[in-house]
Amino acid sequence: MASIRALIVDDSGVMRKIVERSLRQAGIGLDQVFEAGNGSEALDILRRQRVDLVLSDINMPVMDGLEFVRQIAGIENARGVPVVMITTEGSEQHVVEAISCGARGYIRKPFTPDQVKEHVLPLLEVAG
Amino acid sequence: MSVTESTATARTEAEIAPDQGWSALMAEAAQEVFEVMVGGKLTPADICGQHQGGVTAMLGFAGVPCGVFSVRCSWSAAAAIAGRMLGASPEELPAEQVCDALGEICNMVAGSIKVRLSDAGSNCMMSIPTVVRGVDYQVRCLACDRCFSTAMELDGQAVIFHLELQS
Repeated sequence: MASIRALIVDDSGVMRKIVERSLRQAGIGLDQVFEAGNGSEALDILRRQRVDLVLSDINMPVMDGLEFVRQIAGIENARGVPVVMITTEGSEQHVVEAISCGARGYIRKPFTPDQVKEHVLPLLEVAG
Repeated sequence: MSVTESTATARTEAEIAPDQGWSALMAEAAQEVFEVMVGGKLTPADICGQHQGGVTAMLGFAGVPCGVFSVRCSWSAAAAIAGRMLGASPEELPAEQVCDALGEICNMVAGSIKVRLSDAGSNCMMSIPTVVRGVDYQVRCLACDRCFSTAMELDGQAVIFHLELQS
């Protein structure tokens, strides 16, 4: 699989680094990584850049992950790009809500690189 | 299902976790998070007395249960945790990253507690974490009347998990 361009959205810079490292440890080649601290910043990036994958937290200030996923549909650049939520919120209700907003996958923190691989790889294979 | 609807049918806090269960619940959640994200095994510690200073990450639970969860440790313990999470030397990390890492630990342990409570029929929401650093401070939830603590150790350094609940 060719290297991808990923957007990582989390209000914690430490968590953004951990997510990036997990993608690399999962064997997913990263050509470029964009980072955003909330949904609003992430939408700005998606208006300017094409990405192959979005990984987003839910509980963030300014604009949360669910509202961010809802608004992605309005950005031409980002249509069809798989979005995977990575969050501490692990209830069935949250998973259903995220999927109904447009997310294609859901990973609960704490997570291992293997779990990232298991959820992300099939989405990239379908997209690629 | 809306939050309002589910709250109406939620079980009471006593049904979800009796008082003696909170410390064990915190320990179980903390051990899971540290093993996966920090790459270290937390072990029970025998620590008594009031702890002052260091760094504290905290967040609020709203719903059932309602209260404040916090993680407290010395600055060197927080830097060691952040170093392990990022695969970096603790001495090289800026203070902002150390606070950020402890905030995320607090968030993940609270999330892990919440998942266990959800399985037992609870419905609550979590706030975004806040981190305080200082040499002489105490954190207290004014509306809470019950508190539970679990003292653990990572590489010989104490990490205290604390939950204050409102009846």
